[in-house]
Amino acid sequence: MDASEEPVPPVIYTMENKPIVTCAGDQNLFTSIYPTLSQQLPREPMEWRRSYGRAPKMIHLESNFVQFKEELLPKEGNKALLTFPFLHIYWTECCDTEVYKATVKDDLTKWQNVLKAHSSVDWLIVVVENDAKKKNKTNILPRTSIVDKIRNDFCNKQSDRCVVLSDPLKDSSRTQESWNAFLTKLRTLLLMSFTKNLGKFEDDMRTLREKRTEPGWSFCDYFMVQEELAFVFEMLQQFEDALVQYDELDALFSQYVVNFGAGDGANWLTFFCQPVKSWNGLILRKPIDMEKRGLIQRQEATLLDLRSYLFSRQCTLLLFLQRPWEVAQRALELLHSCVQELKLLEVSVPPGALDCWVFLSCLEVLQRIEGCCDRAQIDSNIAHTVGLWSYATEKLKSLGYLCGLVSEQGPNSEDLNRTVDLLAGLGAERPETANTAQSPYKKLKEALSSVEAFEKHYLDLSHATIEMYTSIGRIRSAKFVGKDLAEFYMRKKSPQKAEIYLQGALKNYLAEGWALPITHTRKQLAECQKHLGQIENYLQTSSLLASDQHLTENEREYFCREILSFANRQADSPGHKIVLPMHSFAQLRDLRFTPPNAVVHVGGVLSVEVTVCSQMPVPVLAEQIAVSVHFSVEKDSYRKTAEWLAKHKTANGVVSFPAETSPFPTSQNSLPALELCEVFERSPSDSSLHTTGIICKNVHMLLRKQESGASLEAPSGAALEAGAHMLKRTAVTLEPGPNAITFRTQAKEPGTYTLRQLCASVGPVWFVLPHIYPLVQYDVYSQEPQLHVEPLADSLLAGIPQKVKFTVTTGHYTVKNGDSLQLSNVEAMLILCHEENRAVIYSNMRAPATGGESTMLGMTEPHGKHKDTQKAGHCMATMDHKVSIDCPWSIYSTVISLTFSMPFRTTHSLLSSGTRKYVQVCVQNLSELDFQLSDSHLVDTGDSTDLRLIPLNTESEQRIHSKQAVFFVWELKWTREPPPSLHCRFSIGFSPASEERLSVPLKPYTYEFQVDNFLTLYTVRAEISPPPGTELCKTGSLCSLEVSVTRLSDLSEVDKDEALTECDDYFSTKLMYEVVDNSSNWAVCGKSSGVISMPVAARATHRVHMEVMPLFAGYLPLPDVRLFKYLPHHSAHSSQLDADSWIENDSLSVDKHVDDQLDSGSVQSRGSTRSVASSEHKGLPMPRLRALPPGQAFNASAGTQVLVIPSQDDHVLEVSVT
Amino acid sequence: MALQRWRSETSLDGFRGSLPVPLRLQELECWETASMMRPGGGHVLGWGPAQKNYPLYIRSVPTENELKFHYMVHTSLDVVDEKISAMGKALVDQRELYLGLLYPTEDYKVYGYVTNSKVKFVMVVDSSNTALRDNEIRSMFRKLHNSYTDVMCNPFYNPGDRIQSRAFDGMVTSMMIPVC
Repeated sequence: MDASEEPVPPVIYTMENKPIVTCAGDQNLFTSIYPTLSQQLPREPMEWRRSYGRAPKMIHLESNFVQFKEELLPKEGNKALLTFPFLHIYWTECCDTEVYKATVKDDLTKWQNVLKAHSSVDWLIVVVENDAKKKNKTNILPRTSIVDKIRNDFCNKQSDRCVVLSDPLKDSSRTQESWNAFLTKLRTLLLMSFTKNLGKFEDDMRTLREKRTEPGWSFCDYFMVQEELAFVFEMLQQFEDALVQYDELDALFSQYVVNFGAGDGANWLTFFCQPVKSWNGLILRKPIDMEKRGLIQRQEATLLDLRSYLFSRQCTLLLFLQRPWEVAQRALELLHSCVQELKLLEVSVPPGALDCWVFLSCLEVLQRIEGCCDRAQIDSNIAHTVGLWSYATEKLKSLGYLCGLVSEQGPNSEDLNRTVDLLAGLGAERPETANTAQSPYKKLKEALSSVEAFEKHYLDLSHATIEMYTSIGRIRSAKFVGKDLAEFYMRKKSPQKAEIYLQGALKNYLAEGWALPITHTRKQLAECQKHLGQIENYLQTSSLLASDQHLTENEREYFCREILSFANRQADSPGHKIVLPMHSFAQLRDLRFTPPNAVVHVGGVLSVEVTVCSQMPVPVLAEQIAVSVHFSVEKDSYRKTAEWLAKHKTANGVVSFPAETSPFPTSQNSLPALELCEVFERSPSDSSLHTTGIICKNVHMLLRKQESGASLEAPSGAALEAGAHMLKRTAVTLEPGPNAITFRTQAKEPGTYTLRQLCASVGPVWFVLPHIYPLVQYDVYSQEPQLHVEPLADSLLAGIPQKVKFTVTTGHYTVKNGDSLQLSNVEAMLILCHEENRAVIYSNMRAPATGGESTMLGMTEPHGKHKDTQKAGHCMATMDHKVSIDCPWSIYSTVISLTFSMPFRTTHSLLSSGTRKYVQVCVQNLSELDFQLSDSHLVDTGDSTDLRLIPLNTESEQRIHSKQAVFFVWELKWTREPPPSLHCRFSIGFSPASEERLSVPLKPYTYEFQVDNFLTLYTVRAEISPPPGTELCKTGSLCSLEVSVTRLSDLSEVDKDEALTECDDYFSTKLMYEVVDNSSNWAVCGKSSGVISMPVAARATHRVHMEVMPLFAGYLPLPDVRLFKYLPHHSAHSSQLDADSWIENDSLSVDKHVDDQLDSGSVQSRGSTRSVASSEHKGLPMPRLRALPPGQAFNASAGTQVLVIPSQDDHVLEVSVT
Repeated sequence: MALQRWRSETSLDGFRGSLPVPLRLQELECWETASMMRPGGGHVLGWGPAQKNYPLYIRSVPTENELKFHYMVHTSLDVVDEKISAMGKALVDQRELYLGLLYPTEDYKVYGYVTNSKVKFVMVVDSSNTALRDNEIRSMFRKLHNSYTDVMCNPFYNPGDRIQSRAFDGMVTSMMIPVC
């Protein structure tokens, strides 16, 4: 065996590595078998049962067959696994015992000894049997074969260590069988060797790892050891297991770094803390980066070197495992953790170096992945790679900023120096990428070379990233990258390009309600718009920012002043209006109408108090604040009715507006609540319900597109409505916070006015609230002019001047100068006009405007022709007077009826004293007023000169108080025979007691009446005399009552009635007397009444004697003696009588008549006597009675009393005290 | 514990939302015990149907770099959405609410959690704080969820309003402030 022939195979760290199997013995034999062997060995998988409970694996074995040399056997302590021979095979073709004994046995022994010396137990002896050879020597070894001999000599108890391969180069079934058995054996042994040797290796490795707390322990050494294991696994195609080795190393290292950060530093770790001098990124194109591996082996690697190497190995294995996306994910983690670890270990890193490293690494990883995947795969896995793109973009950006490539004027010398330093750290480009046009190295170098190149690369990257994010639906991330891009553009002074990105991002933040990002982006947008000269947009953004609570007071003021200064600047050149939405400037809080029901009459004044909450941080002078009003003509009058008002108007006239939710959750909570109302439609013909439904009144608010939240940013949304109707205020200073602004308007046309827009102008800047919602309306209505006349007091009294109020409700009519009301009145009513009396215009806000006109209404003739039908009781008699008024607004006269009440009620009565006659007039004041009465007169209207009325009244003036009565008495005197009836007129002047002298003469109150039969015809005299023998009357004892009726005059006109009987020129009349004691003082004994025939002649006297008995003691009034005319029953009037009267006509009815005498007199103001008489006319079929008129019978003994003493045997004394 | 489970399973039904919570854990005193940490952090709780990701609650300690965290949490919602839709296909029955690491950045780790009603919690943790591993994060989310459930149980709380509960605040503070 010539060792020099086969030099020690160098360890080639490529995928071509295979477990080494040495071959000893017959080299020619092996060479002939080798092709088949190497082909057949991996064909069948073999189950590899593993130690430590690891899952068994099916494994395809391959081997690198090398010639056996002693040097190949590892020496004690050599941990190399890759070069470790896992199996030693001895090949022999010997079939001759002699040959065996001569050479093969010795060779085998030598081989065995060498193996034993290295304590290698993994060997196999293969005896190849060849039929051709065998046949030749069949006889030589008939019974015992060479195989048996070998087994006997070498394989004590391990007979399986010697296998026979029969006719390996033939194509026979036996050959096949033999091959199969051999390969199985070979595989089994190989696996046994793997298990044993790897197990041993792992044990050693673990032991080494456990020593990591010892001072001299080196991570790099350990790394090499474990990597060896990884290599073997890789060699065995067990990439998973290989990856585990690297992951363990990774974790171990990470843990050390973390522990270091926590103060538990390992010595060896300080080595990794050396300053970063090279940042040339990951190298993933070679399976093994020998350069870096060498550094680690020599313990010269920096942290980045170690990490780079580790990751490149992991990457390689992952790619073998077809897991490119995990590479991307792990790469991102790695890059982040490297940055963190460098920070943690406080490794000094030149500025930008890490950015370069990360950038290069990102691109390297991406290119590596792209290199092993097709386009479709990449496109469908963007989610995994986009992070790297984004990271690279970010890093390139920061490099650009660092090297002054983003500024407008380009890099300065300092920047250039820094760039040179950074490029130096990249070193030279690696050979494997030198020919690639797009290598990360070239890209970075180019990007850092010039401003333009940087821009190109940065934009490329950014756009690619944004596109990728967008394509996988990571909109937010895309917007965020876009914002960086916008920042870049702003730096490059191309705001027009920045705007779209800022707008996009802002829209996104607004839609999702992220306040701080909104504010920040808006600030950027404001700057952008300022540069772009988008005045409207800028002003709007400024207004939003000025009201933004998330900014500092200073910033807010700055933006507010931006608006104000713009407004001032433009004040000189009017005309151009800039319309901005109001909500950022000020918010409408509530609105208050006066009058509260928001209904005014045409011409009335309506005021609207609007509370506006200014969002500006400083007071702002608004030149004009206006509410534009939409006018619609009233269609139905229903809206004016009280019912409608009650239903629809808030009681206090306040309309509150929902506080606009500050930019915060714009999407969710700002949605207004559903406003529903029911609708019923009835068919016009039979008013049956044919449609009903529910209407959502604020559909336009609810169904707004969600995205439209962003339209708030677009100033075009608010169009200034130029309506004819505006409520305006000028020069209003809006303080921060709530401001009350009052608008006044005079209602003009009737209809409904809807407040539509609120706008405030600051210079040319108009802040407009495009829709006032909820709907706010006020109504103006019109009314026909109306005239009302009403007394100032409760009621009008006849006869005295009183004031009445003329109320003219002008309605739609406008009162012109010189307009007058023409009053046409009846004569009985005077209208008194004071010169100074003028119409006064009252404007009443509640009621429609009214013009009030007060006029003195004249008195009416108190006597008038008032109705006879008097109401019973104490009601005043009334009468109506009509006034016709011509109004200027109408061609028709208005007729108004005024009702006057009589203040007095007057009654009269005739009083007699023997034959002397008196007339008494009673004036009763029914009104509430006191009156002064004067000049009372009673005249006889029958102008009988011989009749005189002598007043007995002493005072000429008298006051009559309310609800009181005054009596006047006249004595009636006559010289000749007076007429049977007397017509009198009572008149009295009166004036209200409270008022001072009136300018107008007042007409006196008159009262006419008639007195009939006032001459006394009979005198009735009654006398009670005590029983004879006694001086005084005694109770219980009969006394005599003498009644004498005396005729005072001869036959006169009044006597001529049915009761008069004539007999030979001798006239007599029938009278009935009756003694009645209503007070029950007397008991009349015997007949108390009787009919007498009274001669009609003067001084004719009739006496009646009766017995009465006093029932009480004391001064007793005499019993009444009544006198009636007794009319015969065959009266001519009998036919007129009816049954009702007949019943009444008994003595009681007579009594009643007597009792009611006064009443009937008072009720019947004139002709009372007659009416009494007339009632008597109602005769009976039987004799009738008629009371004598009060004037005709005079009771001479009226009022006389008789002393009655109590009888002695009275035991009971009854005293009545009244 | 049974009670908590009952709550999280029943009371949150009936609304869907997003509730991101960033929690930034700033300084590390000692890495071995979680109780020694001095976390700083920020919280975002968002509510609303899946497409309405506005914050219900945001807290960030310290506050000086708040904006950055807002951006970060907002951006992380992309991944939350992605994970939720992926989960919808695969893990409907498993009820794994913890979404794990949404994405790492250089300096922070962003974790996500989503309730059955799609309220999202997002937590941003300082990358250098290695004391907070998956299990700690998981239990923090569970605590947040429980506290959030309590907020929801408050009859005076309108689902969708910003969370102003003092109890919730206190719980978040206790998570973000050193426990030592």
